[in-house]
Amino acid sequence: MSYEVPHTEGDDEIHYGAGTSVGWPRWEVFVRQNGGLAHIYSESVHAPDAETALLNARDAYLRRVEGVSLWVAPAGEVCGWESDAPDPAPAVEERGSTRLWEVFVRHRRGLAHVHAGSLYAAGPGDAIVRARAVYITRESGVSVWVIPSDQIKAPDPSEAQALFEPFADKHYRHPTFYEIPDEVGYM
Amino acid sequence: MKALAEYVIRHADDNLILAQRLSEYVAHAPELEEDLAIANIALDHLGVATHLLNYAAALIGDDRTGDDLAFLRNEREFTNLLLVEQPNGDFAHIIVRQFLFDAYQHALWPMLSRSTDSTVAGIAGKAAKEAAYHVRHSRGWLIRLGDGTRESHTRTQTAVDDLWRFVDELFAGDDLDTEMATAGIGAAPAQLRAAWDTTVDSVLSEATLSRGAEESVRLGGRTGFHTEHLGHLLAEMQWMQRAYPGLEW
Repeated sequence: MSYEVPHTEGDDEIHYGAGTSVGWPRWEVFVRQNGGLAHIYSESVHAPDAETALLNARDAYLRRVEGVSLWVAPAGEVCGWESDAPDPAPAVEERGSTRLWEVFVRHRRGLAHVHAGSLYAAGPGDAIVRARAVYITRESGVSVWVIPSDQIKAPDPSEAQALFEPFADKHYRHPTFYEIPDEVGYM
Repeated sequence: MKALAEYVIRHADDNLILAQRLSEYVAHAPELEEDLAIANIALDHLGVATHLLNYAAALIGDDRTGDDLAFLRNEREFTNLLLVEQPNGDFAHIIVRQFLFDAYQHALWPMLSRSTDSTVAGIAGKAAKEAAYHVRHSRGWLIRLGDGTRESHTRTQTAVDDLWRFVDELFAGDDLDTEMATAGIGAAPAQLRAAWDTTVDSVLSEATLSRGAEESVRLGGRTGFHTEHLGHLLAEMQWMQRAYPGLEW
């Protein structure tokens, strides 16, 4: 994978990126588990750049689930819409050329957003309008996120072994000594 | 069989002692995410050490277990490299120590994964994947720190200068290394140097750092002659088994 480590001009402080005067920016993490069909939202990590976000996400979210793929995206690039909010509409400035967006749908409250597919749209409002039409039905879908596809960072397939395999046979990483009651539901 | 056990133990000790050093740092990293990363890397080293020590115990064939080898040997019986026992110091020292060692294991494990000893080959094959992640982690940090602020650059160059005298030991080799390499079981340390030099030089250059001075090389870890830091580390690591022999939980 090629990546750019931020180079700083001055000597006064390390610049971590736009709008982050305190600490590192936040990245949303999506994991596809072994046997899973889609990437599922898995909370977030803080990191100075996409490369570190990938490594941090691996350490934070792949210890207990057997992940086979990982996406990270800057939290600021995620645009969302909830089904009880007013109908989405494209902003006036959203016209002209389109770009590719990835769509994530939360099917029920209490569940995570799941990758549903992708579509072309002129902007975030436009993408949500289209996503709602394509990926949400009356019965399912309480929330939609859209992220520009080129903002999502995934590891190079050739690096999959180093990122994902070492967790597979480490039973001491799994909390197998606790019983989870059925009533707890989704864990 | 004795020679193979000794050879397995020296690599086990590298990983065990570094795991203990990294564990000391858990909950002190600059960011929560980095804390998780350090803990993960410590666990990887501990996992490799456990496999190797259990194998060594089986090879030795007395009634000692892998745990006994970890917790009941004395300082002079540990044969780890001097680099891994060096104290944590500041974050720059932790990252530099880790990067120098990661680059070494990144070259070592792929060679040992072709060992004629199937257990060594199996453990090395697994460790090679972990080392690929480790070097990616420490490389990113070394570049960020070296090519960061004046403060981070100075601290990181100081760490390189402090730790450089332990580098030659990684590749020094001894009769046991030669014997194992000749038998197709082990890797001749000198053969790892070219790959290590390439990795380290390119990363140091990207990090705007330079190599440390070549004078005052320190050797002795492989024969049990350690720096003053190992005894203190072992005292903390072993005290429970020493104070309460046979304690289990």
